[in-house]
Amino acid sequence: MGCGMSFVSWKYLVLLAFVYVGYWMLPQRGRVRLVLLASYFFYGWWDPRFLSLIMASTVVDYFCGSGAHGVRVSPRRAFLTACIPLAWLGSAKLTDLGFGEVPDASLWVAGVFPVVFALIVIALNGGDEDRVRKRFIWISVSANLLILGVFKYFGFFGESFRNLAGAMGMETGWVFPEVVLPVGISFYTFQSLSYTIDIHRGHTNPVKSLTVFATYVAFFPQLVAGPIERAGRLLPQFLERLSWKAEQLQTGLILIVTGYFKKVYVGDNCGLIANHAFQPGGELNGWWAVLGVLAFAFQIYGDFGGYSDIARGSARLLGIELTQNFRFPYLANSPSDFWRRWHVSLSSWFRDYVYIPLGGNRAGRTSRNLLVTMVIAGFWHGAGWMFLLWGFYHGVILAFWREERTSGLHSGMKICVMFLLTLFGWATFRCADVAQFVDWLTGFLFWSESGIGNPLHAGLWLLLHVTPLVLIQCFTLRNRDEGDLSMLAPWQQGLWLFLMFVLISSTTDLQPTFIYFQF
Amino acid sequence: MRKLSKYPFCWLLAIFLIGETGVRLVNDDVTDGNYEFGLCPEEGMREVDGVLQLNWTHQRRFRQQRMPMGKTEGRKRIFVFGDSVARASAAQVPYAARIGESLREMGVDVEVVNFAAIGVGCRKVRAIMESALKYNPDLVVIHINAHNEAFDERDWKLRQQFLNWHPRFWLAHSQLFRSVGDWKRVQLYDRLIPGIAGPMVQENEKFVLHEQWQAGVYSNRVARVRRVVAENVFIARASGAKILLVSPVRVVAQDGMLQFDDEGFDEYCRSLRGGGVEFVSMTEVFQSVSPVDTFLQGDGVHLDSPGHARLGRALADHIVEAKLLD
Repeated sequence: MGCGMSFVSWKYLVLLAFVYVGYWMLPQRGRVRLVLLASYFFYGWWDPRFLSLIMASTVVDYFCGSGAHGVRVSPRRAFLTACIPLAWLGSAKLTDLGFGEVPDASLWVAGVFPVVFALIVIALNGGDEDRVRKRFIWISVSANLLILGVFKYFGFFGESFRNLAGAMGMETGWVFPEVVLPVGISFYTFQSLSYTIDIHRGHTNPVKSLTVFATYVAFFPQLVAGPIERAGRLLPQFLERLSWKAEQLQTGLILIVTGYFKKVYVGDNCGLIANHAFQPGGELNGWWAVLGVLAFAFQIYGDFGGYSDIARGSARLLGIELTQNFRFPYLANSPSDFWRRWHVSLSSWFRDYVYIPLGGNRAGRTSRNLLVTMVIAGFWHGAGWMFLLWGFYHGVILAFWREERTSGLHSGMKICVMFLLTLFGWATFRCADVAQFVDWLTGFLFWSESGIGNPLHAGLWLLLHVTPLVLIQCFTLRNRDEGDLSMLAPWQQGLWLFLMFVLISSTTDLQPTFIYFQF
Repeated sequence: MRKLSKYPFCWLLAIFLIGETGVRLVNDDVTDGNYEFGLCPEEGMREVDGVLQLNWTHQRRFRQQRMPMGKTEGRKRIFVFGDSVARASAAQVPYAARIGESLREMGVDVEVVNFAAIGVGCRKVRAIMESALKYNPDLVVIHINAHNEAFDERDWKLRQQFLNWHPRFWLAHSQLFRSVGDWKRVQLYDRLIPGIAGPMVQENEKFVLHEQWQAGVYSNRVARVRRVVAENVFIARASGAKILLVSPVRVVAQDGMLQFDDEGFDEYCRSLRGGGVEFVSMTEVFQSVSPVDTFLQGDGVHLDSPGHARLGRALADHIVEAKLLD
């Protein structure tokens, strides 16, 4: 089952249709169960074995959340619940339902997990209540970072260490096992983590039902690429008694169509130019260096913004509101404004859980805190030096941008400057390594003809695929919501939807994949 | 009605229906081709004012030709079906034209139309042939080749998917969406970014070709080509036309010697002879010429201009000898 259930697949639409119908036919309790089942099915379509990781993260944070609130956690219950990942992996191993090979090592880990977790719970339960609460938080943070560390960063650190040793003349001969990166791991671990931290801070209360919490962690519209939701916002919506509304169906579908338009028409078509410009060994000249990064800016925006719109639309069909993850990011007039508009749920996560605990804007430390936060944010995107560089770059421009220095500039000029700075950042993000980034920079020294294609034609192609997005955003800007067409009359909305359908359907040759799934 | 007008999706449906009706009324161009992967009967063949036009389209890359739909009295009509070997590159004069020249030199009033297209396999040849037979050829030349079968098979499967109930293709059944898709593909995709789209297509085709040469796969495909060729012969004979089969050749260098490989088609074609079916072996035509590289391109399969001239002459001679136009 290597091929997952992408939002841009008929499988997803069929699943969504089934869930939608079932959801509104069932009573409240059944709805949450149905959504949980659908979410596990959705995730399991990629690789059912990795469901055990989500389950483990869910179990740990469920009990740590209770512990962080001062509720005494029963070791027996913790042990039995922690057996769920083992049961899942064991059944995968025994039934051989095409799940792929379940390594013995993972069975061992899943077998040891309940015992260790129960022992930790026993050890934590005694003593001063405040200290117990803190310890539970540390367990939650450590467990989630351990999962991320092993599955996302182990290979990177191992490889870097080996290279370093090699550079120092030490031949280690070590071979690191290849670790498969589970889809969406960075998103659900961060979401799960925010739950326990928010409980500890008193921003939210622990949820009683494990099913509801598991649904919060694995809610399928936002499971694999966000938005990273806070418990205080999402959990109450699962507990609320919702009734069907035609308005929600309509606006949800509009969001989904808008998302497909951004992803398929804008993102995938711009991706053709970006991938061509940034292909390894390509002979870039100045025109293609500009075109490549410009195309990538709209590719990643269309891709991720489109995904977020589909996620919001899908959730809205079920009466659930997700965070608006993108708010016209290329209209930002400063770096901080950019991060209030781009991947909002992630930037606010880093603000609340990294930047502010580091000291935030406290005098003398702002620049350091910004740099540290953004380097970590860059590293969150991927285990690679270029992501670190990208994070560092954004940290630097955040730290050095001062409103008073730009106060004389026209607001349009500020937007242009910020857009250029963003483009430079995207170049670091897109290049596979430093050598390619240097090649990209070197391209600006040559403005003569390049063998990789006619830049005028490629520019026209780009313009044709970006203009409809800009046009539609001229309307949606009024309501400050990229997927909200309500300021238009129904017939105008219908016309836009029609145009979006036509444009989507004209892009049939490309293989759709979402860039942010890899994070 | 007033209630419905409050819903954008009702407007969407209304606009779509108006647009679809409008396109169907105004645009009589057939736009099925791109979605039927070269298996659409009429793709690339357009009837205008009593003339059949053959055009280069996305899936059927014919040579541009014109032919009056009705037959001229006393003039014999020959159709050539095949792939890129028979079609020839734009710079070459294909052997189909050489057949015409040679026959006219021999005093036979004849018109030859080349229905060969680049990259077609046996099923696509049949689809083209079935559409062309209604123009009443007196002789059908079928140039056999098994090298495009991997694409033929892939496209056959894609077409089957397209024609079934799958929701993925629902929009593509709309004439409106097809027109927009085709316009974008031909006017934008192929014109603006051919250098970008080209490598993607080539990578894809390389993969398909690589898969073709896996053990057992190619021989299975050759077997299917034989079966389909026999069916094609039956269909063409049923229309009343006589048939001239041209078996393929692949020249490969082995131990410093050039080897002629007919992939067993010579023997197979011989078995189909008789009852208005004749056969010319490319191996026999080119084995005796020296040096053979003057007649064949570097891939050992496609013909150079002298090769087309030689094969055209040989076919014309055979047509006269076997009295295929009598």
